[in-house]
Amino acid sequence: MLNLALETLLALIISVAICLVGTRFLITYLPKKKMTVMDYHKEGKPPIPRPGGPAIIAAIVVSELILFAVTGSFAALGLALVTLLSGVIGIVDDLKTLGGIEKPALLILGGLPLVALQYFFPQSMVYNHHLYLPLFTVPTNVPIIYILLIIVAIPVVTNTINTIDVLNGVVTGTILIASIPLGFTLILRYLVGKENPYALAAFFPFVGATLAFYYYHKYPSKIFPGDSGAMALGAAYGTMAIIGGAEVVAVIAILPAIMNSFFFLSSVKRLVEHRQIKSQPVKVLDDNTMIATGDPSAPVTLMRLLVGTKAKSEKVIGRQILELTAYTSLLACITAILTWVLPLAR
Amino acid sequence: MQDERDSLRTLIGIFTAAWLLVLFGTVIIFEFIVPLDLFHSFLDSVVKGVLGLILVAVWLYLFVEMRNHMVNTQLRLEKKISN
Repeated sequence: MLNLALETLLALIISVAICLVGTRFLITYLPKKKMTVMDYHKEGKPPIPRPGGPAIIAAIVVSELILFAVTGSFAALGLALVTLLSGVIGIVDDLKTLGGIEKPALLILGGLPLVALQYFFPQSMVYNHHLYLPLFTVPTNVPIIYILLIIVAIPVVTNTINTIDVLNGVVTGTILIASIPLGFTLILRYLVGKENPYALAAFFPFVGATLAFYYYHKYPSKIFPGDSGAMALGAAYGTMAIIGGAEVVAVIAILPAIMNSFFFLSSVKRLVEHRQIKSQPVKVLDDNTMIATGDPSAPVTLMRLLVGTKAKSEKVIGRQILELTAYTSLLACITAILTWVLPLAR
Repeated sequence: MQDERDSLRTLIGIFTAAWLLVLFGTVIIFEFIVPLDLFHSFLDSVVKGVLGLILVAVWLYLFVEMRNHMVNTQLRLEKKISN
């Protein structure tokens, strides 16, 4: 157990170091290659390097592969493979914008490494097809449905997290906050004997990479993650939920991102890229605050609902999105207690 | 004019409703629908599927209604301010 703790600490340090050094490098390298985008919500619309995703992908993949090499944890290998695959699709999207249907279709590939690992190495226990639900003492065994759930869940979570990448620090902040109930669940499951410690070990390098990138991405951002970064984080988060058996908890924690996607899709009524939308839900005023446009044909988004008729700064809106995530993360922690602690008391 | 945190409070209400609907939806599906055994034949699966779909439809309907209520209130306020 002490060995695993030290190996996890090593993987965590490597993850943080790669992400910090990689992001620092990209901040100076990307502008030289003219790979910058305007930060529309700042005075003078400064150019910001984008994408920082490769640093996040490298940090998670390398550290998880090292963890796999030293511990033999297939959970770490699964997390590395899903992050790599979804991150590469994100890099393609950064370089050559993918359509609203192409992207989710390609992302279906993201969940396949988990299914393949479990199929070829059944003893590895990459995931458990027993679904633990809040308030139920006995888990529901869904071996076939669980495979479909993985294939659908990874692209859905990846895309959902990508859509919340709207303001400085929001996507990384959302993942960081939503990781608290995920970690809480992994610890609870370990304490009640339903989890091997390897899923918990795989969790730390993922959080380390997110935290390191957040340092540069927080308001005012020095770099943007791009689709590659947001999609890698979304895929890694979804994978952690699956390998940690914390599916329901993870869904509750990212409710703001899920509802943002739901509001958007139910208002535009088709799968479409944000860039293709003509009517904008929010406009930037001269003082760089934002206000809803009042255009009834504009898509409904979380940002539009938050801004409303009171002009707000980017910093305030970003902070309020993170406050909402903190609230849903609290609900997710209660869900974890209802799933793992309350049934034991019965 | 809205208070800076008005919309935040409304969204917190919507997310609380979403959370409760997930919890109650799970209980309804796994406590009542899944154990259904009315006809002792494949018809039971059909009934379970239909009931599950109805539940999902009700869930989505409630969310669209909540979203519409919030957007319409906002649009009315925007119109009032621009007038």
